[in-house]
Amino acid sequence: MSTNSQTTSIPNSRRFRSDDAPPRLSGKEAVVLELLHDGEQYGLEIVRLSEGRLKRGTVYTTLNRMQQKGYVQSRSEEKPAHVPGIPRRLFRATPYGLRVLAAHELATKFLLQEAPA
Amino acid sequence: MSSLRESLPGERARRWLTRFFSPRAMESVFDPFLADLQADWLHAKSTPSAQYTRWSLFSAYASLVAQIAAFAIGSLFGPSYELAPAANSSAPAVDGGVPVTRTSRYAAPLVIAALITFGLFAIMSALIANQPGEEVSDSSIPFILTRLPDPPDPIVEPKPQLPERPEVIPQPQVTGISTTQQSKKPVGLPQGPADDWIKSIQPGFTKPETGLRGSDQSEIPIVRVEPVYPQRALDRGVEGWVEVEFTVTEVGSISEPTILRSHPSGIFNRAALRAIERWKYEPKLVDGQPVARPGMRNRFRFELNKASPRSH
Repeated sequence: MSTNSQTTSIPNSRRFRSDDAPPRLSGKEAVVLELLHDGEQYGLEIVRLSEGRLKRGTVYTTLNRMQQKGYVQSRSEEKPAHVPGIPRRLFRATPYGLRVLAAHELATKFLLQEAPA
Repeated sequence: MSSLRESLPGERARRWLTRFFSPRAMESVFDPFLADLQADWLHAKSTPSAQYTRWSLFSAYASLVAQIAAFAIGSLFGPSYELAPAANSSAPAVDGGVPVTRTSRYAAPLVIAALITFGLFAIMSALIANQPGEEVSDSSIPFILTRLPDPPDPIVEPKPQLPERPEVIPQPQVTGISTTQQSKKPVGLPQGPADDWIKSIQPGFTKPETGLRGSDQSEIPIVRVEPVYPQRALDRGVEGWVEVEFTVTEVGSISEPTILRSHPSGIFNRAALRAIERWKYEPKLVDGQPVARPGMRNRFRFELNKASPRSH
């Protein structure tokens, strides 16, 4: 009974989570981290490198969500004043994001019975 | 430089987006998208080998719409998205960003989703209304009206309002028959059984087997739609012809139209197929049962000195 009363008091966004839950990594987020493993990339370049696994219409929302989770970080591109257009944004994986990716790959291998005994 | 910046793709969309989304959402989601779009466009402009077609730009804007939809959905179910700047400063801040009220969190995505839905309907109706490359003209009228011969002068007009005068001869039914009805009875042939009439003037006559290309009256279309002269060929002054093979179904409609030959190749095929698909035939009866007629052929000629393309 006490559990039920606690559940109703938790906000919707946190209802099925807890603070000590392991970090979650979706399939798209794993692809992004794989592609950012070697360095910084633009969002459009990530889409091109993904070879169809990521879509242009959703990759920026995914990157924004990953930034909030701390998996990636971004910086605005420095461009001369005479160059027109909005400054582009470069994304790169954080050490925390790469650790999450490594743990995700290890867990996947283990679940697929491919981990060394 | 300012004119170049104004002419970059995405500038107007960015101004529009800033009305609905918070600066943080613009900075983290939409500005990177538009910046990549502009960089891609500028790269294509500066590279002769690269091509940035209208389709590429349309595809990019379609991706932007998908981006807005994904963001709206994410703001509904996600923990820390925000849309419009919140007016209530006492609301809790999310990730150090702009405070968000619960009302704005749900209302703005719903409004945007409704706008996207109505926008898609508007685009679809616009696409249906104006087919690219197809010019609406008088030649696209779906029915060909054949002028009937003038009735004989001495025909007395019937006066239905005076039924008490039975001595007036009723009007023959030739006058006022529509084109479709007129074509059901071939002009110039006796209306009785044809075989009996022929036997009366040529004893020993037996009716030959009429093939698909015979002079069967049912092979004359009762509805003929002339093709629309393609605007591209009209602009270039191109003439040609298309030979089409098709099947007349049991009910008289057209099925499986295929291009046999055409000259020049591919210019008039679409117009010919669109026209032939609208043709209607009178169903052919064999032993009282309607039958299909495969292998029918027609040739459309597209000539500029004529008012419209004609078929044979």
